[in-house]
Amino acid sequence: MRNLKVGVIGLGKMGLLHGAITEALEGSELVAAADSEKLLPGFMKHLKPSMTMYDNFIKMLDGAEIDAALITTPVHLHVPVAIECAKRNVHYFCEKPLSINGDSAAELLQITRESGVISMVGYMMRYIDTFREGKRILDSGVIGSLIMFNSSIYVGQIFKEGKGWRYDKDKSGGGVLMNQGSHLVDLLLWYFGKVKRVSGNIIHYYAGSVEDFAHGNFEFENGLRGWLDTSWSKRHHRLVAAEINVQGENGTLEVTDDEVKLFLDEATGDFEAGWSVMNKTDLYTGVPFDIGGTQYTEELVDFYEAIINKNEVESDVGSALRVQRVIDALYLSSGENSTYIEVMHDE
Amino acid sequence: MMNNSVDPIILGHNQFFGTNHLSASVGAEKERFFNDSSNIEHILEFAVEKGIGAFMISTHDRAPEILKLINNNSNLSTNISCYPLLPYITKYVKGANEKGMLNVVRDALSSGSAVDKFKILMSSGIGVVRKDLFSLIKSLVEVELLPFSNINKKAIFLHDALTDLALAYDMKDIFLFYEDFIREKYDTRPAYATKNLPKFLKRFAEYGIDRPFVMAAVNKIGFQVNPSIEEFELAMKEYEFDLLAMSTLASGALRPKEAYEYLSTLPNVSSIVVGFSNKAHGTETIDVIRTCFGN
Repeated sequence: MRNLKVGVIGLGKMGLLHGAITEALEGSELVAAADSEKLLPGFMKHLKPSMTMYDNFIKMLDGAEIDAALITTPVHLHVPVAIECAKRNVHYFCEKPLSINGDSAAELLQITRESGVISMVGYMMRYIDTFREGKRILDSGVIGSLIMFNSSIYVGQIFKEGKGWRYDKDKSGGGVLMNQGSHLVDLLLWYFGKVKRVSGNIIHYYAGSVEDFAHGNFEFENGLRGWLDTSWSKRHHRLVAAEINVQGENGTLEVTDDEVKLFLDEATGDFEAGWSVMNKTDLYTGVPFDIGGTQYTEELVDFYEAIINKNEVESDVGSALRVQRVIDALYLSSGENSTYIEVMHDE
Repeated sequence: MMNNSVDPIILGHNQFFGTNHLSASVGAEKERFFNDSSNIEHILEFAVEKGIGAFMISTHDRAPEILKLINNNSNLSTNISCYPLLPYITKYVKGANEKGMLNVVRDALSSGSAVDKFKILMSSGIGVVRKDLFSLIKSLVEVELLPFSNINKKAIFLHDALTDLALAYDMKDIFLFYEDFIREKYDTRPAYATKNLPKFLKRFAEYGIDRPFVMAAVNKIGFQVNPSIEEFELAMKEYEFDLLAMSTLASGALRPKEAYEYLSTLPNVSSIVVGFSNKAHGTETIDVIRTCFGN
């Protein structure tokens, strides 16, 4: 079978990363790149002569023969770029979050569904071994019906206003809730289903026009309640640290980047009564090529396999739009004294 | 004169900087302990006492402070050689999030005269010529290595993020450039960290770079071993190279005895990088390695 031909739009950190994985995997190759900034494409032209460089993504989509595009632009460009991909029947992988707000992505959902292209949005935490194991355990139902959860994602990165699009709400859609928080919202939706309503509270301190701290109370359609807390200005957190703790009628489940801890009152299914601990060394499996974490590779393998086999992708544009609608409701609620807001559903 | 002899045991830096691949909270605890640099000095002195004169240290923000501490302690400065690892990648990733990649590069160069060169490059855009690219990389390496000027460097390692990036894109010229530049400018051995050893060895054989010096994770449970233990072990037998083995205890999932008994069955293991934060743990690790490898 011939290689999938792929183009990358936006040659920043994530564009280089996803492009590298695409090159390293058997069955896919990076043939084109588009970026309005010129220095890096200039270097790439020398180092990777087989690739064609474009200074505009429309020129790339019209000029390069590609099966799929990797969209790694600033957030506000995700939707307009993805729409042009779908219109040309080019499958697309888009970095998270999908858009600066839900409304701006509703048209993309429709165009994508009509075109039949495969879409994926880069919620890579689903591919971290521990969070995936947590999902498996929850789906097995061993902890019984769910009573309550709490969750957080923290990093100590922003202690002054930075430069660039991330700090401009019109281009990023928001601060930590959009950046790291969206990963956790995505995991919660993946774990627990659709959200009925939320109440939110955000705090600005360091980063100017975008928030540094956010807290949300969630009520899912299945009745489960719980909360999320996030900050990118959390002291003493050199690395991103996420955790989800769930209490069920038969036990508890704690999931972090490092380990999964399950406690059961009674032995159920494959698990014994008491504590079962699985850490990431136990759960690790090798990948064809690892750069920056195995989750990035597993994610793209899923995307390319879905294109070849015409499979569905779990973290697709519809799934990512649900994340966006929850975040919209959290922002809206925060502006209205944290009153509960019903979450909008597109499909 | 270039010294090609590789130290069989090298002390690593992770515990000093709060990196722990098993647990972020354990890492943070150690970072607090080693925030007091005299605690680092004690571990380095203990290593020397045990006959270990090799220290791998990344170009972390704290590297200048630790190198100064070595330079000011004659016991350490006489007996310790360094294996620098560059760049300190977290700084660049964090910086790229804060201000964009190009601003990070510009700021990194601000301590040298290269910043003017960079500004010219920025404005010349896509017309940038090949030699400018390598001159920029040279400047970046030189800036990273400034704190190491007075330290004996046995090899200079390129961080796995950059090795693997160039490997993925099959950028042979980057590796040929790095080989020549490190040997000519620093009179020492170029070396590489990678998370993809089999691919690395295959490509280096194609590039015609003989007997590369490479650091990779190796342990019998396959933690951070890619693409699989089976393919990894096959590659270890197929090529001639010097392996600096890391993550040998799989972040504490393995006891030293089982870990090093396994390692001693593999070919091409020239050296092992170990991390310890107290004497008891250090003694156990070092003694088991010496028993298993008979040195």
